[in-house]
Amino acid sequence: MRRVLAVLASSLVLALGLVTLWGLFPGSPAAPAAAVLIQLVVIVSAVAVLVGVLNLLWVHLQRVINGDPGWPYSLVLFLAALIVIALVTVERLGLVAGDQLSGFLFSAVQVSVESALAGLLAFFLIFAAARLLRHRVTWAAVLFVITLLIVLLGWLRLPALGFVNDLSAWIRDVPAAAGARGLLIGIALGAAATGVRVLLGQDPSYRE
Amino acid sequence: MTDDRPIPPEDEGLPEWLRGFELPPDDEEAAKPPPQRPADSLDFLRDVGGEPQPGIRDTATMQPVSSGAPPAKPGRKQILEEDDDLPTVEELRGITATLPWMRDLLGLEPPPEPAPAGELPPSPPEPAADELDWMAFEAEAEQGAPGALPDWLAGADLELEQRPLEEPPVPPPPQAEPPDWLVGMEEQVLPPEPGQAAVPAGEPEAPPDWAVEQPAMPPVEESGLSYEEWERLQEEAGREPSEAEKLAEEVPEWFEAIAEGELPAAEQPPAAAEAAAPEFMPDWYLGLEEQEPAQKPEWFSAIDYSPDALTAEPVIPEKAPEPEPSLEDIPDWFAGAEVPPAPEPETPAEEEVPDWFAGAEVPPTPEPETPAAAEVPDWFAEIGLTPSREADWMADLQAAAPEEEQPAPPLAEEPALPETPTPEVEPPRPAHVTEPPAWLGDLPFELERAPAEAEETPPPQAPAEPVEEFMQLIEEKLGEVEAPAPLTTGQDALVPLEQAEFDLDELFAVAELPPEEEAVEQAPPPGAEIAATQLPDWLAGVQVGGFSVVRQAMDVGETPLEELSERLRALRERALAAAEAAPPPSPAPATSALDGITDGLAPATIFGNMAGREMILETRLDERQAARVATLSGLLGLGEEAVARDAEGRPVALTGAQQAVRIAEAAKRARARSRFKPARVLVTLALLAALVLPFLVDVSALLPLPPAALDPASQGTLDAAIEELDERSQVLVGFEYGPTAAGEMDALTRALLTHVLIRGARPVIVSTNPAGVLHARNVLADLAADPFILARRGRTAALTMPDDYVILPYLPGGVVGLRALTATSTDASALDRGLFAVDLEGHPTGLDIRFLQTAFDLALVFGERGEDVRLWVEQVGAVIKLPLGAAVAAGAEPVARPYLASGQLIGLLAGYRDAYSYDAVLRSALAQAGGEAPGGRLTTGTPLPSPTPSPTPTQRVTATPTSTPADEDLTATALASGTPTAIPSATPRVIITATPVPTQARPAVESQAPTPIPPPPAPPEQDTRWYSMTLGVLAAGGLIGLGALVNFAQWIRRRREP
Repeated sequence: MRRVLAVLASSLVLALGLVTLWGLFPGSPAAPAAAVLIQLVVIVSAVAVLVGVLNLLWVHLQRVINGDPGWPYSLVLFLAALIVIALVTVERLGLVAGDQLSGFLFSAVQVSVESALAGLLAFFLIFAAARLLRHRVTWAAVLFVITLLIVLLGWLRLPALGFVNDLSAWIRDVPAAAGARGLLIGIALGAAATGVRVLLGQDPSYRE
Repeated sequence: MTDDRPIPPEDEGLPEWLRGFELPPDDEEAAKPPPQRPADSLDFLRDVGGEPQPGIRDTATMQPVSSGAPPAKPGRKQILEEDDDLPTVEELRGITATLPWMRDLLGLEPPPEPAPAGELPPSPPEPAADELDWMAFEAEAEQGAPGALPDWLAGADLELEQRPLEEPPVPPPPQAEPPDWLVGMEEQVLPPEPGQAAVPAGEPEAPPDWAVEQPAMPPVEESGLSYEEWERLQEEAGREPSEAEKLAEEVPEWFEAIAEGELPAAEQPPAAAEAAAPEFMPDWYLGLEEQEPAQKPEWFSAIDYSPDALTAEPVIPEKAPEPEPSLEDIPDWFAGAEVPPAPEPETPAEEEVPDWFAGAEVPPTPEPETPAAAEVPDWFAEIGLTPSREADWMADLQAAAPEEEQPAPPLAEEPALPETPTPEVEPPRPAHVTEPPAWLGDLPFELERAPAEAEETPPPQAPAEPVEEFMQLIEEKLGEVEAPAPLTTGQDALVPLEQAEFDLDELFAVAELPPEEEAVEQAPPPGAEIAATQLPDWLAGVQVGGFSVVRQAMDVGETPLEELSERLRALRERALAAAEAAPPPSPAPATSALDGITDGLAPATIFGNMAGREMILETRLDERQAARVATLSGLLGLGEEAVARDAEGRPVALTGAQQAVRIAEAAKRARARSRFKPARVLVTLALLAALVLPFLVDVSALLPLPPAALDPASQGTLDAAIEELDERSQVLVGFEYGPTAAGEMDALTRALLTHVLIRGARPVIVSTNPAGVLHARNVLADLAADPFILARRGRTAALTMPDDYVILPYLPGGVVGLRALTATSTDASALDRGLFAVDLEGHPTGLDIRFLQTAFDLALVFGERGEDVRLWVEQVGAVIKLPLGAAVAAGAEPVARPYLASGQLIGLLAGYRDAYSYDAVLRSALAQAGGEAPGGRLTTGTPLPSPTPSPTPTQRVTATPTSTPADEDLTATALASGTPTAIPSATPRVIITATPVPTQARPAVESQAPTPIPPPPAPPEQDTRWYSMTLGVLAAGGLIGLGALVNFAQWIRRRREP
């Protein structure tokens, strides 16, 4: 029975995948069907996000109930989620004037915290770069440090660093762009190969 | 698959399996059919063999077909290929008459009833032209007594009697003169034929010159030998006959009696025996019963067909051959394979191959049966058969008899083992089978090839062993063997296959035949008697090849001790010693389930024999290994505690317990040290100082601000594209960054959206980032209340959603969501309930967006990663064909820049520097157009060709992407007034069409009196922030460079240290 279901699932995935692919071609008569299928994916993804949020709340609620280690943090998370959900619900219902409160909470808490954490990253990166040559000096490490300095200083485009500016622009436009193009081509090939594998039923993700 | 090839006339009436045989193409003379070919010829003899048999002569002329090559050929194959003097089978169509089975196939009339027992048929007065010489010879010698002939030719004699009456003798074709060495033989063997002058006997011609050097050949009259026979005798005289030859010379007595014609007439079988003969007996077999007892062979006389014998306990075969319903469809010689075995003297294994097969498989070496050949009729020697080569049915008669009589010998050392045949028995092989036919090669098994030294090996063996072994192998393969695995007598234990030492030569070589005594003692495998009687004898020489796994397993027998390698011998001695030293297996405790079982595996003593052995207490390291361990320990913050030193100062690795202790101690010290790290604190303080200093001290004199201009080559023409928007334009904005990149990206977003809002366009924001949607709401809320924007738009109240801007809900699905965004554009019926139906707050947007291409004039994407830009370029920009600009974080610039170079992006802004530049350009443009009315154009860093008409409210403006930013070609276009003009292709082309804008729910543009609106001054924190960033970058570069120099110096110092 399990094998039968697996075969049916594989056949369904292959058929829908081919229909979607066909519908993406310009002027394809399967475009409406493909649009419907894509919309279904979007809806399922939205439901998945909702399920994920509910699961997160449930897990932390369980930790609070069971008194697991770190349960106070779970309690804070759970209460904060409830507060924000309740606040947004109140705002959407029009019980309070405007919707600035939820926006303020988001900017004051979420954006500030994440921006601060991102700002701390600069200190770690700089310190790590300074210690890069501490244990071992290699040509790759030296080249990395030199390139880092050139690009970092050249990004400022200070007039006093004319040669560095040009060199930084060259590094950005030639080696970096070439590497980026290589990455993009690799990503495209990987995506195409993955798509072909899925359409051919070689991808085991939906067979298990 | 059917064979559509036409059946040759000569093959008609032959069995199906015989039609495929053809003569060699080079033997055209032999392959040519005779002018009048009787239907009862024995051409199948030649067809079966594929080649004419040497020694066969044309019975009409009794001369070889052609003369020429001398007969002194070393091998028979060579004779077949080169000796044209020998007659062909084609000329032997008169040798035998139609055999009974052939008569049935050919639809001929049945032969006349054989003469009753004791009544010999009258011999013809003169032999027919197509009569065999030996037949003529015996007819003269024995006065035509059929009992002197082989029994299987009894029926043929009857036919021979009618042959002269049915068809006239075929006139002999003109033949060349036979060689002189054949003249005497013809005179001796053949009677003078009518119309042919007889060669005078006793006057042999002189031998040719090539024969002078040879020893003088005695006269044919004296020796009775042909030249070939005499030559073979000469060759064989110089060497000792092998065992095979000796055995081959053992001709049964009945055979000698046939040759000498000494069968007494009193032994003629009674007439009643014929009536009592079973129906399945072939005709030629029944002929034996017609003979007198004295003339019967001994083996035939030993068969008792009396009712008592038949009903008594069978002695020889347990299974009598079942009468086959299709007996008429098979030839008699094949039916002979199922004749019940009779006690017969042992025959060599080569008799297991049918004679017709033996004729086809002529060994290359001359046959050593010359002494015996003199005792047999000439025809027997001429067709290449040796006296030991009886008919195949004889081999079948002998197949199972000896083994049936011999019970299975008990195993000497392991009597409890089942009496099964050992697979190590070397299969016998027919000594003379050297070249199997090609069709046998297609069979799923291999024919055993006789080595060159086959003649030297003792041929006597159990005749049925090949069949038995073959059947055993077949049964093993089919899983039908019910008996346990066979063991060799005296074998202690089977040697595992992987432990056995294989000798390739042994594997590829043909297994030697066991001695006769061993072969007799070996018990027959299950079903051996069945195989011996039911299998055709041509399968006797077939066995599984040496590459078979089963065969290899069978070949792995006991290896003599002296052949074992030193290592295996040592292991064996140790194993024996350990077995002797091991205590006897104690019986399992009474409480266990194995109570009373003493043969189980004894518990292994793992550390039983460790006494006296030195234990490894430490692992010594060399200096290099110690240095590596120290390096790893240093990386982990453990120092060099992982390496210890012994009393002599040599590095020694720590044991597990020591490592655990030392690691714990090092961790304590590391935690103590981690409280204060001067280097990290210094770096942090230096960087903080650089970042904070601009906010405390005016550093404007030291550091310049970013340029207030945009470089079209590196930043594209995004500003110009935005400048072309108006209050009826809609811009699709992808807000793909969250709070993490807000500090860097917000400046870019504000600058670009400010420009868009100033131009009166309505941005429609969509995001696949849940936090991005919320952050976009905050950003747009700030911009909506910006007084400058409101002033430029002539608004007094803040911009509202969805009238002035639209923030769509979170778009789930990632890349699929983006694709759904574009797919919706082609589905007009789903727009009202699609992604553009409601905004973030759930309010209807009022957007009637049927096609993105016509609903939007520009697309912008704000992304913090290169992945965001890539998805928008692939899924949106490539589908809706809108001009797409991107604003990304500085870290994503290298990934997004290739799209700018390829023209898929019309503009690319990265980081705060470009945000500052764009804002500066925008403010500068606003300052220059200070007195312009709302909606007036700004002069940004990318000037458009002048004059650029401003679109009228009734006209629609669409922008198309340019090919490449560097393309400076002018593209002809037309203004709204119809005035032709041209714009460079590098900039977005503004195509003013006459199509009125479709009426949709858009707010009417509030018109205000043109009042000067000076741009607000740049906020001071904007410049200060730039200074802070600049100093921070410089400090970071300095710290990194300083750290690199210090570390490099330390590295150099370490290298210089001894």
